[in-house]
Amino acid sequence: MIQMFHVYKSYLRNTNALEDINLRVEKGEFVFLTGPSGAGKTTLLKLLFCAERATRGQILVNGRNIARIRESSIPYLRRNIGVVFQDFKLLNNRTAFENVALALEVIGARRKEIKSKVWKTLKMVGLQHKINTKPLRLAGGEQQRIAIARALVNDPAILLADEPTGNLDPDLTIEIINLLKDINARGTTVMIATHNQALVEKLHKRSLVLDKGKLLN
Amino acid sequence: MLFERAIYFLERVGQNIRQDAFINLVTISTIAITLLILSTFWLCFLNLNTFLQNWGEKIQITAYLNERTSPEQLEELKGKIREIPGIKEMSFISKDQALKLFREQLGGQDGLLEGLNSNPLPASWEIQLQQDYQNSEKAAEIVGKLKGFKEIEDLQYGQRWVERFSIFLNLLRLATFFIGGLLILATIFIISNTIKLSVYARKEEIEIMKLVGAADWFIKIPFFLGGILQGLIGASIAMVILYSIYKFLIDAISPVMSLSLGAGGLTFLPWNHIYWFLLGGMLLGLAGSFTSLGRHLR
Ligand SMILES: Nc1ncnc2c1ncn2[C@@H]1O[C@H](COP(=O)(O)OP(=O)(O)OP(=O)(O)O)[C@@H](O)[C@H]1O
Ligand SMILES: [Mg+2]
Repeated sequence: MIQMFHVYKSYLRNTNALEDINLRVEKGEFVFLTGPSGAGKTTLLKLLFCAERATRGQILVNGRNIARIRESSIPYLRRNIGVVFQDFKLLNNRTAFENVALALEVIGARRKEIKSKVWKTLKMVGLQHKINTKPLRLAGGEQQRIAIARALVNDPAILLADEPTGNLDPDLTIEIINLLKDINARGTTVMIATHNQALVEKLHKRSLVLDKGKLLN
Repeated sequence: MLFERAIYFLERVGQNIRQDAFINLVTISTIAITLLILSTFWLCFLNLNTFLQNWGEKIQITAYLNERTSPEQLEELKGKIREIPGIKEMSFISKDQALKLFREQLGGQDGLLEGLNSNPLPASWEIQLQQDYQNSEKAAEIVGKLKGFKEIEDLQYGQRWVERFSIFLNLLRLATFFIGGLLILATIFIISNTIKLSVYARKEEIEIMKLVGAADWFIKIPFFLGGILQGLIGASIAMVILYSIYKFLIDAISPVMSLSLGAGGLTFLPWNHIYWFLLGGMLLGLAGSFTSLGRHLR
């Protein structure tokens, strides 16, 4: 599902945020991407949905080489990848419903379809009672779940989550992780970037460890 | 499907307009002011042009003949003049007729002529020009040719002011295009900046839309539609204001005008010109959004 061959990324000259990354994630897998702050976790995820472009190397997503993908094809790549951002990226002047619906609106879904899918997804993340609430009136964990719902609402093949439990207390962390496991159980490939080592150890899933831009084995 | 899309985009346009009403107001006023200035110029030009045409029809050339011209020479001259292109009609006014006309013009004061023992007025040809020769340039050309005949002693043509006036009209037209061009560029610049402001206000939303897979055109279309709509509203406002001004002036000065201008008087822009101005407004709005989004959305 995801493959990287000798991938490099440097934001500034002479320093590599990522260096010679080779990896392979199977369809339906659940993997952690761990490492200290600044190791390059966010950068690696960004390469996968083309928020940043690799400096060198090849990246295959769903059988497609995205290292050379045209600018105009990027939107279509992104429709197949749900992303939960480290800072949520919710619109504060929109309700939970509207925030989730945005992901369907931009792909031209019908109004009826949007309504039923958004409702279903919000129900899945346990927020059906907060459907008309705006993000700032929701708790951190609830905002996180809206972000997850938005990432999932159009059934992407891949879910990328950047620190999805970053600001959450342990109970909420478990809740969110269980949600992500459920999603994975339905066949979605899940990749989670986190520096929460305890969490990784508890779940007994494969983890890719980054350090100073290099992948450790 | 397509219909639902259209509705979606229109809803977004409505949302945009409501969210930054002030920016939209600035854009619409800019377009309205530009088009009001341009259409005012244009309306003046049109009216002056008809006015000139009405008077231009009266361009005629009077060729005064030499005293010593014999009737044979006269006939020969007539034939030659007829050959000059652009001559529509010519009528001969003999010395006697000229005197009679002069007497009539003097009215009751024809006693002034009593002391004359010979007729001082020359015979003349009054020459009418064809429609497309009725401008000062062509008339001057014909006058030039007439000057070549030795039987013609003096020439008088048109009204000098008609000539000056048509130069003035050409200048006015040139000014309209020049000022119009500058105004349009300035307007596109202003609109492009106001739309940039409104794109900037939605920076976050646009970023998120892109991250969840919105195509570029999908994000741009509401801005284009918004530009077109603003242009249409601005142009309509300009037309309404122009008509109000026109109506006001007509009511205020029409009694005076109809006296000095004769029948016809002033006219407003014809419908098809109004459509052009509305279309122009929409194009202005579109051009404004085009120039701002091209760079800004990358
Ligand atoms: N836009 C950018 N411009 C320049 N350098 C950047 C940029 N984004 C990240 N970096 C650098 O790249 C390196 C990797 O950053 P990245 O955000 O991928 O780390 P991370 O593993 O996600 O860290 P954290 O756990 O704190 O989120 C860091 O040294 C960072 O300073
Ligand atoms: Mg990060």
